[in-house]
Amino acid sequence: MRASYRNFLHKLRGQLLGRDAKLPVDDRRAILDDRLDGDHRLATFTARVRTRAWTMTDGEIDELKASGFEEDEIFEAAICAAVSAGEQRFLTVMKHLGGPPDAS
Amino acid sequence: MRLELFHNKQKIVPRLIFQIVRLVEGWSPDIVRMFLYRQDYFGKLFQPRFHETMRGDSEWTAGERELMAALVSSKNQCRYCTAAHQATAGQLVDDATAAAVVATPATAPVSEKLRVMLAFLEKLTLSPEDVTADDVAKLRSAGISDDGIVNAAEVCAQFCIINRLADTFGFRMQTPEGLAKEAKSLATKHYKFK
Repeated sequence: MRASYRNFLHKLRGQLLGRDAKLPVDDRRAILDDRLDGDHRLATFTARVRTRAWTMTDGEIDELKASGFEEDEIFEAAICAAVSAGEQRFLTVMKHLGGPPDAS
Repeated sequence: MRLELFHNKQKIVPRLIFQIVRLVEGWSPDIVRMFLYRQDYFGKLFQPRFHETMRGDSEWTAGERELMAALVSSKNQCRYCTAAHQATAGQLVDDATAAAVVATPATAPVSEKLRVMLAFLEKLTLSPEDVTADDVAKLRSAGISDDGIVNAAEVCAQFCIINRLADTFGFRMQTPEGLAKEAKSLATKHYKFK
């Protein structure tokens, strides 16, 4: 039997919010929760990752770097935004399933 | 790839693993570089889960899950993952079915259960906020167990994550030869590369 995906997401969140990162933890948490302020300098980027990543350009990444973001911060922000999108879809299904078989 | 760190900030062990993958498997996709970079942050936990989701115990065959992956990737407009998983589904099912699922899932030659699930996954991928309890009830009515629904939701979640990373980081498309090797490797072996 497969291990619980819900538990996997919980562990992944813990890892993404751990100490070993460059981006402030509050920013990582806000991206994961899809509640980053619209005027945050990463807001446009993380919204694009979350909703239309296929439109990403070299220029957008270059602009972030030019504005002072380290590549590791961009890496962390992108992963938090992508995980947030995946998590939203899984939890949507779990909500409508009621008593989840994924509680193992 | 758009971040230089995937090339110039890898530690020695990941570099060696990457070289071994290239030598043993004959292909070296950018996704391996991503999983190997700062593994404790993402890849070490995420990548093994891919294997469990796509090849672990399930009422869905590995081929059916690859068809789901190809569909979700195409709806996310991720060319890299669509190509990889359409090709892998082609190995496990057949090329015509894989192409049909990506192009016209409603009329693809698959079981009724899978057709119902593919329609659900399309909605879940494109507009999760519109998914309702009735949508889930239709899956149950089609004879899909709750565990089958959960496993398909996992496939959707995993690919919604990886599609976004592939497009954000700018994974380079495989050559036709590299794509064929990757598909064969995923179809006949597994998702684990170490």
